[in-house]
Amino acid sequence: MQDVTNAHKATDGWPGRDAPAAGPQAERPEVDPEEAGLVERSRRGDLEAFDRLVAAHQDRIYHTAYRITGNADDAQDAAQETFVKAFRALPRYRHEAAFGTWLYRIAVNAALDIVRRRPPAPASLEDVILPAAAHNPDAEAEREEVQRRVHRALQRLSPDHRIVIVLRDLQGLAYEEIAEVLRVPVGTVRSRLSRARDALRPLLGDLGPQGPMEEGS
Amino acid sequence: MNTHLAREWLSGYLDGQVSAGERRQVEAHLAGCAACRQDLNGLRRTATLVRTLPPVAAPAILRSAVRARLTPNHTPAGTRVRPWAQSLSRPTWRLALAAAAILVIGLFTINLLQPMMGARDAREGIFRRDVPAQSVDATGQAESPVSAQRVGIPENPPAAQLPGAPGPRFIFDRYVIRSADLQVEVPKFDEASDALIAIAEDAGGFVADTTVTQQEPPSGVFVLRVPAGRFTHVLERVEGLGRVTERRVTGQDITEEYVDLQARIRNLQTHERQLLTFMGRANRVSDLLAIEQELSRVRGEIEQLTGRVRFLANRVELATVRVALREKAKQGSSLFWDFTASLQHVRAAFLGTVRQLLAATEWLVVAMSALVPLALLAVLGWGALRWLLRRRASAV
Repeated sequence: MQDVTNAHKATDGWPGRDAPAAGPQAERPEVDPEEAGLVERSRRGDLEAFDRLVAAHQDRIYHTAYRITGNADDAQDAAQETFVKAFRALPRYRHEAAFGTWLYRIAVNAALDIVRRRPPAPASLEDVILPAAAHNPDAEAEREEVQRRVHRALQRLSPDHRIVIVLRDLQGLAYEEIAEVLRVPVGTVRSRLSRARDALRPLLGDLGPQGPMEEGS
Repeated sequence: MNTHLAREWLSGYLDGQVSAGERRQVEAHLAGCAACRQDLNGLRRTATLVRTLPPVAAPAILRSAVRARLTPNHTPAGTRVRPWAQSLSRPTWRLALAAAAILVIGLFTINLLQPMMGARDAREGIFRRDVPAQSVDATGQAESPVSAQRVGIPENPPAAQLPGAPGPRFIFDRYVIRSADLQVEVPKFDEASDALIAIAEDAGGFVADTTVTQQEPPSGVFVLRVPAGRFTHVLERVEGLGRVTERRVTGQDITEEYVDLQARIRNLQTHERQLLTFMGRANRVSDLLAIEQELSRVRGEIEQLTGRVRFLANRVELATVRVALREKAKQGSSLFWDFTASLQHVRAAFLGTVRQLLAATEWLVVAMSALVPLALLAVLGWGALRWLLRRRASAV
């Protein structure tokens, strides 16, 4: 509980991320010359270059897929599918979106495919991937419990709501980027995200920081 | 401030995704509305809770699995690599297409070259008398060598063996009209026709009929009459002139007709003699007239029959050899380039390839339909396996 509060207070950003800069825009540089070169080489079929792109993006993509599909197996399927599809679709990629955004679009669709094909059984405890245990066993156990609850609550949302929350609150995308990923207007992103949070809120009603937040505003 | 803020403004405000004007409105409203402040806090708490979810690193196998799936002809090392997806990858398709194209072009080339090579072989003399060559149909003269052999050439003309009477029995035992039709391709027409006449005369015969066309290439039909005893010898010499493309030898046994004719003539002659004696004894004019009339009828018949006997005897005595001579076509004909022939080759090659493709397609369809039950079984088994695996995975 304490950690959660601190994290929020400290950055107002995305706790658990390694990135030094806070805020969604700073997170993903729009034009990375090195990445552009790798994309260009991959487009011509260079597997070595594409492998490096995979290495650079696999965690983000896998995490997104994991939170959308809800379990590790499906996440791996979706992530694999994402990169394979991306490689084959690269010749048709015209830089109308940033490469990362473009990847997100493929990943979201791949994950959605899996979710729609097999409505997932309620996620079991073992399905929830947690970081390695830290020093304080009690606080660690409590935090893990919270994370399990949140993960399971996410899985109870409709896929559309789940996706916007994952893209916004976990991946830190700007509304415009989410709009690009989902190919919907920005206004739709805003209203959908609002409805998604409204839907999620009662599922997490008894969790989270109470007092400090009241004072903070 | 009775009306509360639109919920998506709050959510957007939380994310800093509202315009400056909206932002001022929201802040002004929040300052005076506890309910909306409460709402915002709730939203913020929700978002914060979601943000506590730790990032999950991709499993190490993901990268290698992706690589394996994208590498052509790579044995999948990863667990979740689907071999079929890999086998359908683009380079494989390209390779298959290239192979198919090469196959088609190869077929076409073979079809194009085959008739030309076949034609050259034919010119160089596949048609030997002892070999009923398969390429006979190239000149449209199938079967003839075979039938010639079936008829055979009796060694001892004109009297063949009587059944039950071994050894040759000459004179009048058998009367056989022997004739032969030969088609011979010769290098030089004029030389060959001279030689033909010489052959006939050497054998004690003659050339009965000649038809010659001096077109290109020159050709002609010669009818040789030679004594039956020299028939085989003459045939051999004629065949020595060039390449025999058609050969037909027949022996018509007219013994029965010949004997019958002679018997009838003898009868008629007896009758004639009787009539003559009757005439000597006749007294009345009317009788005389009647006998005279009958006599002339009988004599006419005798004439007719002896004429026929003479004709037959001539035929038996002199065998007929019809020789169609044709000068061998010069290589590439008279024109610089035989366009129609090339066109025909191309057409034949094209049709041949189409035919072979159709045959291959038919074969493929047959093979595929044979595989359908197997494929069904495989799909069922695969589905069952997947289902089982998933059940076990979710049970763990």
